[in-house]
Amino acid sequence: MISIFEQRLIPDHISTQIDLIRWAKNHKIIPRNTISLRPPKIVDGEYLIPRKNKLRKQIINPVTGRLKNKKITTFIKTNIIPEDRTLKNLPRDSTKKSKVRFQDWLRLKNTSVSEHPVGQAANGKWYGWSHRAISAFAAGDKVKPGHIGNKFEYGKEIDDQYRQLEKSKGIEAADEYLKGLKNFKPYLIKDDNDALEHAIRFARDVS
Amino acid sequence: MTTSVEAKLIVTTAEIIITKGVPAFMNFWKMLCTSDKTVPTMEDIESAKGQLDSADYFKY
Repeated sequence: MISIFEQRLIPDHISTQIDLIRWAKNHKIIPRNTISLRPPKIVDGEYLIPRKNKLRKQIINPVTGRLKNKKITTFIKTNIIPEDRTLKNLPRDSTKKSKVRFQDWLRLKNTSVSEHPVGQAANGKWYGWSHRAISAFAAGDKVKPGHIGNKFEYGKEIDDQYRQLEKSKGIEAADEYLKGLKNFKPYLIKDDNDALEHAIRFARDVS
Repeated sequence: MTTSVEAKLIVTTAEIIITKGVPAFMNFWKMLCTSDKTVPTMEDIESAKGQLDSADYFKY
């Protein structure tokens, strides 16, 4: 900066903003973009989870020479292994909002088994979710009346039956039919496939 | 040129480059370069910037 000023050089070759930004960067008047987009280093036993809220930083666009808010993904470190992660130990801030996406936390993979959002987490449970709710199902879980996704009250066939009754006998008869379905004894989910079916029914009902 | 003057010059120049564009920067630079002093003072920089602020340059 001192040298270019003492030379008393007027940069007449500059005609556009892009040239000006380039000139300023070359003479260290404007710093080059130094934001590292690489994830931080971790040691054995540590895991990185991308944060939900992206960091916004003002960066000069080298093409237009204008400042622009750029979203940068930052990460949180955790020592909790994927198999131990549940919705209860999901990292949250002081307002109880989650810091990370639950899909990233639980390592839910996109599955094509259903048109509804369901996935198996690293902890082995099947999760069904929507923008309203999320629930986990695993072999050995007890399902009680009122639990969304149970095999007696929820399902496409039951919905079809409800609509048929509504058309033929009226809404009161249809509601009576649903009430009758609630009287079942709590049961256990048998295996993984059973858990998946429960998750699909849950996701279908809350979507 | 003292360090504080140099820092002021860098910050002011960068601000003008980003917010006011090429014509404003050229005027600012010429104002400082064509003065009799070999090294600008704080007052020189501030008065040059003040002249730019009063002019109606296109703001980015």
